[in-house]
Amino acid sequence: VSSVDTARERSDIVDREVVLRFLLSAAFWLVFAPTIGVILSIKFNYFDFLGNIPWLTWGRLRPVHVMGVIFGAFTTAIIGLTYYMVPRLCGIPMYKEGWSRAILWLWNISLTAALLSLPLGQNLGIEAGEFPTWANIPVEIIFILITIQVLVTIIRRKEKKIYVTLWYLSAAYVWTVFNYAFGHFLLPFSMPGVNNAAMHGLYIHYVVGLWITPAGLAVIYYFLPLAAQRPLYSHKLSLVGFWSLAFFYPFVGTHHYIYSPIPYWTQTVAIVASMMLIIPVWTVTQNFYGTFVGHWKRFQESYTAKFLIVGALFYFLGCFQGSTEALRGMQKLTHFTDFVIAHSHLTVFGTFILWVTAGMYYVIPRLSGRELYSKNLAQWHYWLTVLGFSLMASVLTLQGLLQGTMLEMGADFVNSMVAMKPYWLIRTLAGVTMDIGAVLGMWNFYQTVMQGRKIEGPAGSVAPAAGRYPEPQWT
Amino acid sequence: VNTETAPGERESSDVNQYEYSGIQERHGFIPKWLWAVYGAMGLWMVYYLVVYWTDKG
Repeated sequence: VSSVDTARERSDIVDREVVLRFLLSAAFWLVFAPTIGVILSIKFNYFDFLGNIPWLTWGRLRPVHVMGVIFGAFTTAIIGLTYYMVPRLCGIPMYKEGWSRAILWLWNISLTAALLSLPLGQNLGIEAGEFPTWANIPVEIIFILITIQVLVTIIRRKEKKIYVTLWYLSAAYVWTVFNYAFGHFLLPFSMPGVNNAAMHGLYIHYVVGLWITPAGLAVIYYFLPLAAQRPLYSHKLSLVGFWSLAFFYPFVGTHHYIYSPIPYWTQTVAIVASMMLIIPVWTVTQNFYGTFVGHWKRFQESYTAKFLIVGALFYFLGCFQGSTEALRGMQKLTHFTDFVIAHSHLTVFGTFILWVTAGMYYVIPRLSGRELYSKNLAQWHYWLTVLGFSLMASVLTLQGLLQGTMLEMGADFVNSMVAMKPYWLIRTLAGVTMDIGAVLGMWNFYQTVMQGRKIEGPAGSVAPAAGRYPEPQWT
Repeated sequence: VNTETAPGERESSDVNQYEYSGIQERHGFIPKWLWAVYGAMGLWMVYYLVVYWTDKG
């Protein structure tokens, strides 16, 4: 970042330095958190691997992977992209820009400390809400501050209309301010027993459905029309997608506890809401592909477009898998199997990590005023990610169905585990492939900022529609 | 930005331009196949809620 001319153009409304620092932080977390996942997957193949060191045991490391992906990799990138998208959609700088610089450091320090505390044995015991309380206080404060920044910037905007990205972003931040407090300050200390489990189902799915999903959709809605160099297909579809998500998602969470002592009717409501998510998912998928139909040339030219479109395909597949997985018959077959892991990876990595990566391909060259450092590295990043992840999602889905069938047919649980060994080895190889891709991609981003060839024109000038400034290639 | 309609896409002149981001969006429409999906899902929802509201053993 230091090599970037940080003196901002007077006309530029984006704080380039903050956005780039956030995105380069995200690049680190995008390598770190999946690498922990690879280490965990090796433990399936070699049960004693790192098992003698208490802070590297399965129970200590898994939360580092889960929390690291959700809050390290995804959320750090989202915050950086928020500071890029919101000013550009509102036509004014972010409200209280000084806060953003403080948040950059507070966020990364809090995150590092929190993720280090997990292997040391500090854990709240709420899945996807595992950071210790002392770390949750600054994280909650950060969510509140960014929410204020986003909402006030929108209120003071110069742009007349509020684009769909702003609906999703503002909703995601508001929902998460409440949900983060719910999951970290209320749930661990109240509601004992089965009620706590039911509420945990809601919390964990609010993290997915009311944070990761709307924030991720905000990203693709912003960058897809720009990458396609086409108008978004349909404002009407955006409306249907947003409001159906907002209506159905709050009821989804209890589907984690089908066949449990939680009242039957609440399980039924959760199943129905899960299936009804087909409406927003198919709606936004139509909106995305409708934008691209007939203009696939841009898919070849732009890594932003490649990651967005492939992510949209995984979104469609992963969400359909998730909806049907909630049905009682499918739950009976797939619960406690790797089918569930396939679903979580298809959505969180295959969709949302790919979408924020796409956003980074678009923003980093433009804000640094430099061409993408290496097209070859980007090509390797793309193909290793897509092929590695396709293999991982396929093998996890297959082994989940196989394991579920074995258990349904009365097989011994240990035997069902032994039968999974070859699949787990393939999963590890796929994970290593993805991880190598991530390292190459993130190195490419870092080198772009440091050594990329300068683009003629004012650094950080972003005017793709007006076409006043040269556009970086391959983004 | 290319605002030509793609094959099979309805002609639409109601493109909205967002000045500061450079994004354009069509007012657009909801395709018939999606209306069919909405209808089918609505019917299924009512059926499932009625039949599976309580555990009939």
